[in-house]
Amino acid sequence: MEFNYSYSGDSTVQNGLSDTSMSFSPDASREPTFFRGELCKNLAFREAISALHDVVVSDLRWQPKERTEYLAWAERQEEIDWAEVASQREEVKLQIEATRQRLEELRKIRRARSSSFESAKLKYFDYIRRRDYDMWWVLDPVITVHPDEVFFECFSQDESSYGRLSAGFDVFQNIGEFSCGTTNIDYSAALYDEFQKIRSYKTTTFEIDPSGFDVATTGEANYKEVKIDLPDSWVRGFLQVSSAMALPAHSFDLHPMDVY
Amino acid sequence: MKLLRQANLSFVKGNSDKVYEVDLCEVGAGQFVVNFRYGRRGSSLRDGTKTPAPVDRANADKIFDELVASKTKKGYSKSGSAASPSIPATTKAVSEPNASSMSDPVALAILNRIAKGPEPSNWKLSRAVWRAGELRLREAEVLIAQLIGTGDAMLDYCVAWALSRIGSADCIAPLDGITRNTSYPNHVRRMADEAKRQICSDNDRELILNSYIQQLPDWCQDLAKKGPAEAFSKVWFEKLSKKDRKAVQSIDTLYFIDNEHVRPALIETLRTAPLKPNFFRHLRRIFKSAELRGDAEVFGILSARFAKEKHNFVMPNYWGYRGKKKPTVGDSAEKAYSKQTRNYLRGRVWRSLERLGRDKDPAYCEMAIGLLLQFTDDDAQPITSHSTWDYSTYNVVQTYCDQYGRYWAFNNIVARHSSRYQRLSTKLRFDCDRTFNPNENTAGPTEREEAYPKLWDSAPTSLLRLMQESRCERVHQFAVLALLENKAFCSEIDLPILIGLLSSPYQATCSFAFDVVVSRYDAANPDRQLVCALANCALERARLQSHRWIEVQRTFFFDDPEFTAALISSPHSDTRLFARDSLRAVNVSSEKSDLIARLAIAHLLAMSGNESNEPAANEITATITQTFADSLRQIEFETISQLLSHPLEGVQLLGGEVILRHESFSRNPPAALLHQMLGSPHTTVRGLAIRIVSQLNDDELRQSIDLLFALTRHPEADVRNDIRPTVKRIANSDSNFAVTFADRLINALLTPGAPEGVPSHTSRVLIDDLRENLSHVDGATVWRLLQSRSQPAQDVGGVLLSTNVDSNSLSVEELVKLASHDVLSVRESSWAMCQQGIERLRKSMASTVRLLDAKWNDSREFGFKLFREQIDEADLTSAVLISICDSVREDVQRFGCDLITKRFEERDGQEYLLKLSEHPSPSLQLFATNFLDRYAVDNPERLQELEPYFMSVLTRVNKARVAKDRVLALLSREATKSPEAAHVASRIMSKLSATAAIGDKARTIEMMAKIREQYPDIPLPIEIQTVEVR
Repeated sequence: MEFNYSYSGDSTVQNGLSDTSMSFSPDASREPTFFRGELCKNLAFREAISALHDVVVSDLRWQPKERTEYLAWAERQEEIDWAEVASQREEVKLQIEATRQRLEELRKIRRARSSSFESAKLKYFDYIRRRDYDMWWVLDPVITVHPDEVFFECFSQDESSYGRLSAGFDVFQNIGEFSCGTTNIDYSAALYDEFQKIRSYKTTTFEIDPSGFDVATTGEANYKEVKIDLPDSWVRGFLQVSSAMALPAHSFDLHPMDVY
Repeated sequence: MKLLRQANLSFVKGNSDKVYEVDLCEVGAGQFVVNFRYGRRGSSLRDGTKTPAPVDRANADKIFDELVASKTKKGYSKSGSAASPSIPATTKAVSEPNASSMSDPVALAILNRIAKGPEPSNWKLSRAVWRAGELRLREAEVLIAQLIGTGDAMLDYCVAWALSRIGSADCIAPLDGITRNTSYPNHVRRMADEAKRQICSDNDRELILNSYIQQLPDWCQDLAKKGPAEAFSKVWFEKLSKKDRKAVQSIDTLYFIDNEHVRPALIETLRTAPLKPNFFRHLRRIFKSAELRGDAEVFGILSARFAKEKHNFVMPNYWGYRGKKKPTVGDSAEKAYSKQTRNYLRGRVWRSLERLGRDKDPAYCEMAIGLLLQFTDDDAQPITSHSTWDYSTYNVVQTYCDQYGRYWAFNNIVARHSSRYQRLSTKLRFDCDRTFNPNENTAGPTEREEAYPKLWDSAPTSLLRLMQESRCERVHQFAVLALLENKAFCSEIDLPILIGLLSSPYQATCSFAFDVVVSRYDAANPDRQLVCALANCALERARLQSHRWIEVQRTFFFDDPEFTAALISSPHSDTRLFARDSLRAVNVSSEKSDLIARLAIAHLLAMSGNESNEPAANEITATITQTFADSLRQIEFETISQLLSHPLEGVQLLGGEVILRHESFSRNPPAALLHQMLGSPHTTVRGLAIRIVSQLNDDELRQSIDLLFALTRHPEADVRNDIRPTVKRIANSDSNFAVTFADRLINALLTPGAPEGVPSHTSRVLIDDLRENLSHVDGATVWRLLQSRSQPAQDVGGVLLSTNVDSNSLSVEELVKLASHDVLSVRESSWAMCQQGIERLRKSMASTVRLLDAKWNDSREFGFKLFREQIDEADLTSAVLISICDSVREDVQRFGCDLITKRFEERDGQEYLLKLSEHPSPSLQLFATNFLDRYAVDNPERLQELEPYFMSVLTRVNKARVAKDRVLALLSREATKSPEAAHVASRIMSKLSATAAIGDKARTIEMMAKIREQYPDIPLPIEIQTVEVR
């Protein structure tokens, strides 16, 4: 199932010495949903949204072991073994031993020579990975503004867990005008780092930016278009959660030590 | 049991053809039964009876009549109603053949055998009838016609077959009897039809064909009658490709009709129709009809297909199908064309040819040609070999089967008497003789080895036709050897035919034609056409001979433009080079050279785009450009365009050369032609286009800035690189041009969507070639370049940043942002600007701090250095330091902690403790514990403020042992000091005491015990029980 989003610019978190402003960019192609307020339970919010992030990036699926190197080694070793079996005569054995030592030396030299190249290559790949970090995950959470609360919903990478962070309006103060609804927000891994800088001594404004909708009416095309191909299982899971919420629920509280 | 009455009923409608037989028999005195049998015609019938017990005659008659009446009502009709089969009264009084008129004992014997009629004999009557037909014994016609209707299907079939060859109009009536009577098997009726078609008069045939046309599906009836053939083919194949049932069923009807409108479609169908069920049986019938009619083309096509195409399956032997229906039988057959069928047909092809040959029938050559023409060089198979053990010599013997060895009839025709092959008639194969290895000896036969050479000798025109039409080397070798012996005929072959033979690709044929021609050449009156054919011949000695003849009378020969052009564009390299060399020594008038150039260009344009033509095209192009350069000055636009759209590189190059030499286009090349050249897949052609552009003078080039821009941004790398020096040259001489050009390139860089490699080339041109002309680019554009998503645009921005942007115009935030830029030069410029604007940085420390959080190591290093060396202590307030520590990067955190420890001031201690304690990272939390002992003691309110921090530290799993110990120690100390502190500690301990870590649990319990002891009122989840004293 393919979803097309268009965001009017990136979500940003500005950290100053005494203030933090979080501005989320909502999906401009949906009905306008926006919110503006000041956080008053900063630390709790920080920890909660970090926990939500952990849900999004968690992947408990089984990953097969990387065995190519072992297999290559095993193949080489098998050749050596067979050569040994075949070498009935001592002479041949000696020759093989000498050749093998020579080969080992050559390999060592090759390793030494190419080590700087290999490490630079690794570094480069790491750089590429970090630069395009957002490509790795469908991070964009769903955000809903209710008349009495704002909540974030997300699914884990392996589609096994659903996380929801509800922030009642008592978490905010100086709430500005808002428009209820559900939308996606632009979210990137760099934002997580910025969240870590939320402090109780900094005034923290939280907004789902309404300006994108104003621009949308003038029809300019300075939008960040994102196309996300959501797996069907993801969509199914989301629907299942929604329907499960309509059922009578068992709810319980957990002591911190229960998840210790 | 005595049969008294019988009724034979039959029912034919559509595909249904069934019979119903009713018998009335007497089984005893006054006892009668009525039995019946029914089923498909030709299949085994099922039995039944209407009288479980015998009845009397009256009843039996009644039952019999009722049954017949009911069946007749259902649509059955009577086909015969006598106890004995209906045979027309055979007049035994056959006039004995007139022995005196027959000198041929074979014919006489056949006639005698037929006259004897269907009496038992080792020589079957049907075979004799067939043979009579083969030998066209007209004397036998009357005898044979009388044999119709004996009830023996095989005999009827043979009679119809024979009559079709020897019959006269008198036989039509009896044949009609067969076709009308549905009790005859279908194949017999079909053969009778065929016979009628053959022997009837032209008027009757018209009627018969019309009746067949009526049987065709509606959509093609009119076209089959009136044509044209193309329209019929179109409709026919449209339906056939959809496997239209009616179309497939009427394939053999088409062959019955076989008029000029349907024949082309029929031939194509025979060539392409699959040898699969539904199709195959029609093809088989057509094959037999063709054999009968002596239709060499159809016979050849089908015979060749049977020889070339593998069978579809192998039919298991008879026992596999005992009692079961064979899969090839019936209308809905699942399979067709078994291995057995194929081998039968392959054998049959040669058998029928052999009979013609043996009977010295001139049709042999006709039919053999029909077959031979169907084989081409493509049908040559790889040579195979197999080894056998020779017991007489105790050696392994290799036996080869050469390229055509598996084509049975083909080999029989061309190599029946060869000493080089062994003829294996059981395997339908020709193996090479042991002395002949086809891998080593590829020269072909040296003596005649075909079957029936006398017949071929009497048909030399047929051999000539083979040489003219065949595309198979083996056939040419056979035809040449056979024709060479016919000296008289050879000397009479017309010259145009010989010239045609010289253009054959086969050495044998060329050699034959050359030998005949040499003797006819008259030096006093040379024939240009002949010499030209020799010069373009596949035979090298013929070409050399022609060169010698031309050398002698060079001026005469090259005076003819067509001759010269044909020589220039000869398919053979030696002739092309000879022509080029010779033309140097000949003076050709300008009019003639114009004509020659045009003719040669026409030759080039007619060449196929095959890669093997590449060298020829290159040589012809070279000859034209070297020898007729002047003639190229006025070639038309259309011709050049055609040259440029030819697929061969050499031809396209000629197009380019023509433009270069053209009187008007060289100064003013048409954009369409240049566009064509630049779109060419060949590098050389694109290079030539650049050469055409580059040779224009600077003024012209300045005018065509659009062209230069398009070339600089061309998708092909070689074009871009080739035009680069030209652009640089003009830019250096004309700064206005350079500025305009640079602006356009920068704009293009900012527009996304260029092909791969173009933006990076553009950025190289801007940086390397046009650097001096970029001083006018304003800061805003540079900023846009830097913020672009394309790397080349960022590169250009990086180069311009230091020179075109005033550092004061950038805010500190922007400087900080540049320090995280991916392009090194940009970061370097941003560092330089930071150094210059250090004062501004100091004033807005909140932003400057973010320099330390830059993405790149080098920028961070620069930031650390800047903070250590150039920022005054006064600017590093506690807020700034804490902001540094707030970073999520460990190196930055460490740097911040270092700064705090170095610049620590007593008054800020509390602030550090409170603010750093909110940091989520364990290392900073540990750092904050350093301040606990100093700023958190004796202060219950502070403890309360720090409660979340304590919880955060203490609930870390398997981490921060030191921090935990410190916090626990502080709490245990403070808890006993005041009830408020004890409250805080008790809240923390209550939660923490649930931990699974034994050490921590013990300490919390210990602490709670202590609190309970001191402040018994504080609620705690413990109950102290006194130890029981025993």
